[in-house]
Amino acid sequence: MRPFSVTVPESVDEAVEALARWGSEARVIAGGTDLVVELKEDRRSPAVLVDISRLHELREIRVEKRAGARGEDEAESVGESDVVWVGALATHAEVASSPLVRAAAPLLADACAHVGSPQIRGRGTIGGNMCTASPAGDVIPPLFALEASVDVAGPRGVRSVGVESFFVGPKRSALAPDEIVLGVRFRAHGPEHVSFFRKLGQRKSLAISVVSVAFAARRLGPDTFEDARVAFGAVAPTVVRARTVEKALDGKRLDAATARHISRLAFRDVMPITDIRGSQAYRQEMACNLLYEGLLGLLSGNAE
Amino acid sequence: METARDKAAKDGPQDEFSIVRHRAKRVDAVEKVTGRAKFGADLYFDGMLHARMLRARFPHARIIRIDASEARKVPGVVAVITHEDIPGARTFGPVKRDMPVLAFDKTRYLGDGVAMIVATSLEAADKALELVRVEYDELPAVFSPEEALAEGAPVLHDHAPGNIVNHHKVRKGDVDAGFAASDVVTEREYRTQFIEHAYIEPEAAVAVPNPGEGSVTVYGSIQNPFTARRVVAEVLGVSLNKVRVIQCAMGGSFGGKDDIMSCMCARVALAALKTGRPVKMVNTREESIVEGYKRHPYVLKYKVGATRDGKLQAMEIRILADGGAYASMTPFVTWRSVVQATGPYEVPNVKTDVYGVYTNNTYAGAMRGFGSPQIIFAHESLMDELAAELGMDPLDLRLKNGFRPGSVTATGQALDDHAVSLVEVMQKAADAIGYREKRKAYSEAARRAGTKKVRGVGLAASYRGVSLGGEGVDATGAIVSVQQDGSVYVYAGLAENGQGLRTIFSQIAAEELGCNLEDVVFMDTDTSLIPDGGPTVASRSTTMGGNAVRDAARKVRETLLAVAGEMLGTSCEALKASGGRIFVDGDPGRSLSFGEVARAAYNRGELMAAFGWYKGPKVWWDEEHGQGRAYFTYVYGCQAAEVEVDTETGKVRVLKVAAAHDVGRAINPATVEGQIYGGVAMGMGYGLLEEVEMARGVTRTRNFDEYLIATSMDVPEVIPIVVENPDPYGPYGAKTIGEPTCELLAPAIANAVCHATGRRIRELPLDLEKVLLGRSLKAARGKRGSEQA
Repeated sequence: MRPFSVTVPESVDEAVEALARWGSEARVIAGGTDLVVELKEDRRSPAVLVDISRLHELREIRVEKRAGARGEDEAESVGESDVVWVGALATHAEVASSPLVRAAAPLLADACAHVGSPQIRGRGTIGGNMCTASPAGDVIPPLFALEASVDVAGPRGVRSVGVESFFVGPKRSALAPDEIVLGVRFRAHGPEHVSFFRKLGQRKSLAISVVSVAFAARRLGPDTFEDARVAFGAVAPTVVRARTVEKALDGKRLDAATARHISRLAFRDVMPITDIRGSQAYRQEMACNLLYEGLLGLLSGNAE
Repeated sequence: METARDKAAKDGPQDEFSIVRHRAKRVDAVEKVTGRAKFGADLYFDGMLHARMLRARFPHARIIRIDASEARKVPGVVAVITHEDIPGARTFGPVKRDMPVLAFDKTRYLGDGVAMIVATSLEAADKALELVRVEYDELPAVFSPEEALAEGAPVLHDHAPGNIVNHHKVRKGDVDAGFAASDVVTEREYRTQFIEHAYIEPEAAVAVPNPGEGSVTVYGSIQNPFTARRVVAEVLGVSLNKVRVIQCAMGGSFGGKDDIMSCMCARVALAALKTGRPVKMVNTREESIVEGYKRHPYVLKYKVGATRDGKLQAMEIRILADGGAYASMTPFVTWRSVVQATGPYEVPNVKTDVYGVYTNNTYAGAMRGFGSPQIIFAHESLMDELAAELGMDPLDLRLKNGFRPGSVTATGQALDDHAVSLVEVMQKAADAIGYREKRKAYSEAARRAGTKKVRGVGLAASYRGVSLGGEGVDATGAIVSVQQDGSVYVYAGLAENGQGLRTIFSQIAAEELGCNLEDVVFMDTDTSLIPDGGPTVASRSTTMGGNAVRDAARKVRETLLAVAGEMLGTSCEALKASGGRIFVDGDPGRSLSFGEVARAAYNRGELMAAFGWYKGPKVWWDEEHGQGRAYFTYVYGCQAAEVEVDTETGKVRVLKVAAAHDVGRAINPATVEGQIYGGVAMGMGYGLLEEVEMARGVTRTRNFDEYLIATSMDVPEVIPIVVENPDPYGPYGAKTIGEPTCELLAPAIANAVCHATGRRIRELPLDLEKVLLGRSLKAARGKRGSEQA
């Protein structure tokens, strides 16, 4: 590890100023669960760390905009199409246990509950997981399935980026060196929404995903769905939407056989590589199987 | 067997023990859980310097020139040390002296140390590392035993032109005749992987020069202080008494802190003498995994013949062990393999050949199991495969051929002077897991179509030679020293490695003396205070060291009882010592406290310390014919596993493990169970998760994000079954538990997976792809840089 200095901004503006001043010499640190490893291995050697852990407003999880008028006593609840905002500094543990997220986007809460270990979930942040931009990042597929947008602050002000445009390659995001992620927003799910997050790892804890899948849709009938959004992790340079699958699912009445058939279409949407955690062929197969298992769980007379 | 019982009777029934056989709390528990225990990396001395290693750039290369002139100019750098600075031996090794302390002619794997920077700070040392210029002439290299044995293969060591480290054999009967007499002959090939010890504390050592005596003291995370002392002395070119090695608290070893620590101790000692200042070296996890030796990968070819009713007739076995760049313990590891290769079964005709082979991979050496996990994976998979061919239940096949009292091993040793409890452990493990019922129920369930998750049960059994056997000298010592207030020091030549030796030795001392366990303090192992008692290996501590402690404590007890007898006006034969009191047997009212007796003995000028020594019973070995009394006694174990396999993903969940182990006698049932839990977790990693992946000599799994050990979330319910058949040789009948616990689960899981899925996997580990597809597709892997995550 090389020596570096640390600056601790008290506001988003100060943080952006610090980044503008130091440019590519600076790195933002939040939980540090990825960055500190990179520092120790000299994979990154910034001159300055901008520690944003005091920007408490970025830790909030809240309903940002209500879709309809409701009474006082419902202020803390979440309704369909309410807009939910999760601050970048919310930790995985906080997101996983947030009643609001559990109600509005259970697949995101599930994904956060499966990140790393209790220690990593306690320190690692949802914004950090996004900035690392690993195609195996567990938080990202649910954000794709939620069609979330990302708020980013920089010297030119705050901009909002669609989550799919935010990730541009393996470990590369659309974030400029002088920008920070403020948080993500997405529309809350209502009672007719169904969703799941599934992940395949070698072991039960501290497992980097071999393949992961997030699914969200609106239920039309017992075995019929529309607006399906399917996103896979660890099977392409970034998390990817499986649009062939989504189209095939739309309005189609599913049984085990059709679910299997449609899941196989994921072959067309993913392009995994072979690495230390799995081969290309195995990953392709698993993308299909994980999706199939998940779909089966949603069907009325499911085989399990 | 009669002798064992007689001996046990002489030692007295269970209720006569007040400390031994009790679940005593570990004596070092508080210092460990409160963080007060001092590990090697915790040590600090005034003026201390930090050392860092420059390692090889090529797995096989000739070193032309090392130019450290720029590195020496870095502010803070005090010395750059290369092979030219070594005053004594440049190489070391337990069997063959083939490993350089600092590479001089060639590098043979990427962990070789080429130059050592000694600086006032780690930052300065790191900066200097980049400025050392090493000119290499890269040589062709070999990365598997098959490559290394091929005609015209590059040669690693001049002394081994065929790259063979050693060849052990066993010859018994006539295998051709045996196969001719067989109705079924089955041939199979199995493969195992490189395994990392994965101790929680990476290697650390500090050397402090003692200028007055012209010598050096080395502290560190050292498994075998006497081995380290010998290497340091040889490298420095000084006599043994000029080097003092003191063991720190150990954050695990599992056999892994032997050669690598001897080397690190020699390096820091060199640096300390060169600079005249204390020098510390601590490996990062990545360095530890790249440099540290591994459990050997084996390629095992087994041919077995049996009659139709399942009686084994012959086994022919050929094994290649990848020893990596240096011999290390390969000759001894493969020797245990050759002795035990046929498993705990009566086989009239045996031909076994085991070759240790040099390659340019990371070298392989001692690791918990020591040549047994590989062969047990093979012979226990084979027994299930043979049972399938014969249409027999695998347990029945084992029961039919398993060792019984008086059985003769493959090496011609009659098992006639200890309790041969193989059948007992197999039946107990099978009963605990519900083997018979589940074997039947799951087979039927699997026949039902459309089940996504399938279950299976399987088991594996072994016998294991206790202690060093034919490897060499087997003796060790201890000192028990009672102070005038009745408190006690115990010193031993064997060392605490985390296995619980301090507790066991303290219990034995307290039991014999009759004092309380709290009155005993076990001292750190220090080579200047106690004679060389050999290495802490081969699960030998309780058997060998326990006897030595007992011997010492009994000598002191005699003195104390004589004094107490005079004080109480009775003969010492009439006295008993227990629970901190010495009293007249049958008349506890006439008693003295242990402290009172100690004070009186002190005031009378009696010697209240004693040296104990235990020399193991005789063993012999005929290397030419592979026959002999390989070990003086054996332990028997069986582990049974129940698994659930997800047929969509290949994921194996181990639901339950029953582990039955004959330990002779449990000195501390709680620590025996602890060994079982730990061994099961390790065995599970061996079976399902762990693999050091090496690509052309480059270690790809350098930290625990990619080298996967089982977490507490993965380890299933474990049912420990402690079987006690007291042994004639061990203290109180105690034998061995450390290693047997980790050698059985991988084949038990493989057998259970086969029961569940019908798919036999002959290569470890049973990772997702192998279980789903029957093979790994990861062979054509990209480089690390092209990885996705």
